[in-house]
Amino acid sequence: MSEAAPLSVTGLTKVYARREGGVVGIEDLAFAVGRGEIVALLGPNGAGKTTSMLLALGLLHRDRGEVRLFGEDPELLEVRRRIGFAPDAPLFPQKLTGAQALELHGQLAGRGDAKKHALELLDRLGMLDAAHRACGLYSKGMAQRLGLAQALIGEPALLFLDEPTAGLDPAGVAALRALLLELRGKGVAVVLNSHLLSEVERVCDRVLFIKGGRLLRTHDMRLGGTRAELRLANAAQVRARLSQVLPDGVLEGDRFRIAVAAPEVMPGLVKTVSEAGGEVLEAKLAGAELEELYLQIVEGRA
Amino acid sequence: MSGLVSWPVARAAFRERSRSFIVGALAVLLAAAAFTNGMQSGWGGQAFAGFARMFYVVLTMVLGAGLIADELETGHAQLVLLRPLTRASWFGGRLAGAALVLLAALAAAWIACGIGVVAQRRAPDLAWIVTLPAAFVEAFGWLALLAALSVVLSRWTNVGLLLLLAMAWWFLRLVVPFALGDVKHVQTMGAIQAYLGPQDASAIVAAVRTRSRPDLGPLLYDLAWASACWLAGVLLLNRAELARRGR
Repeated sequence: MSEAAPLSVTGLTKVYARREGGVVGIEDLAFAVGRGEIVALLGPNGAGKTTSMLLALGLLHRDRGEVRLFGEDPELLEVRRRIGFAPDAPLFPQKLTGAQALELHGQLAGRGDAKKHALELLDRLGMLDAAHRACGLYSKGMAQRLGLAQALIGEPALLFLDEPTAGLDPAGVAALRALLLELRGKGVAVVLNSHLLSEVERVCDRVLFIKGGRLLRTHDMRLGGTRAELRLANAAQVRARLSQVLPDGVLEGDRFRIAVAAPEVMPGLVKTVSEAGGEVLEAKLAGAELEELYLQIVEGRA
Repeated sequence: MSGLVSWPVARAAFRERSRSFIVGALAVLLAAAAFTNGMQSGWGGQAFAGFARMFYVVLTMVLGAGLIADELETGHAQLVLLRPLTRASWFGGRLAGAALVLLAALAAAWIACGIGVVAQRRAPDLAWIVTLPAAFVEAFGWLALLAALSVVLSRWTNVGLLLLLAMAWWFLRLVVPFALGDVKHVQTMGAIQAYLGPQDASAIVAAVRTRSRPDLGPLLYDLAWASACWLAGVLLLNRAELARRGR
């Protein structure tokens, strides 16, 4: 019998208020995260990404819907042994040292060697020098690293990371990327919120685009994105017209590039360009950049 | 017991609370006052009388201020409660950690009083021994109340509310008998007051000194009070959303 998905969410709803174009909160969200899969939640501020995470973790009460962690109720203590959560801008007790705060989480996670493991993790995250300093004296980046160490100390099989790169220096971002790839290799499922699209593009397997509390689209990064590229015979003459008709497209030399939602829209695109006066010599599809996809799906530019 | 109290949480709460400068200063003042009591009276039963009582009441308030709210408001509680432990044992752990700091401060003051008594060339008696549990159980009752209030009130407002209620009660106690035109209500209100919080268990100390039968009622009442507060705190906590949104 195959093991249940680390995370499975169906019909998840938590509505704080309704507004034009969606809700404040989350409505009817459904997705699953498989073993060894890294999934990113992308969307503008207030889209409901953090709320989704907090609902999945049971830290917020849901209005309706179901969350299963490893096929079980998230409230089960045994299930909680297998999860880790690093929130955005975590705060630890100011008077405790980083090592003590981490030791506490290690003990609660049931690790017998909590103290030793805490120091090893802090060393791994480049925090050993600050291990015995009070958490109240930590910078934002240090607190972020400590939050990550806290999430990892129980050796979770499902990891939730909320804005994990916020406050990290470039070396920290690179270390986090390496860590995520290593975790994926070990079969750890990861759900992350991030606005750093370049990092999401490099490490994630799937991206869920969320806006107004609703899931707009799921994009599988492993399959590549979709971008149309058209070679024009009269590019210079139609430049102005194209920028009016398709403002998100980019004309470079004789090539006009634009992100498209799916390959099926290609004939329509060629027609639009032709109607704008463009003489299409060649049309082909290429992988889209995540940023283009984001703008197209979330901001509605296409 | 481990279901009621998470000891790793208690240890962390002990470390965190004992490192506060105010707590340290109050513990020193309490010990000094208890030592003075021992020196002046030459009797250990006075360990927590006068200024010493004032200092340990203030110490209890400082230890209980924001005991639960601090963790809820910073978001650390949500990280801890994602671990395999119940909200009841987390609440119990926080309360136990603060109570251990209180006990340590009281024990230091108690020893200081004993030293004061010995300095007067007298031996600490059984009454001196009883002062420590009597003072601790009453203070623990107040601490448990502050912890329960701290689940729903932010930061130090649990202490503020308690002080406000105390002042309101004193005012009522003064005004009501006169408003009703019958001084016998003074006694009635005095009797009611005994059940509005933990009871003063120091009467046991006097009973031990006079070798009369001690009334264990206040001690048992205080233990029941603390248990009720723990239960109320856990029930409130179980209803709470732990995430920071909206805080």
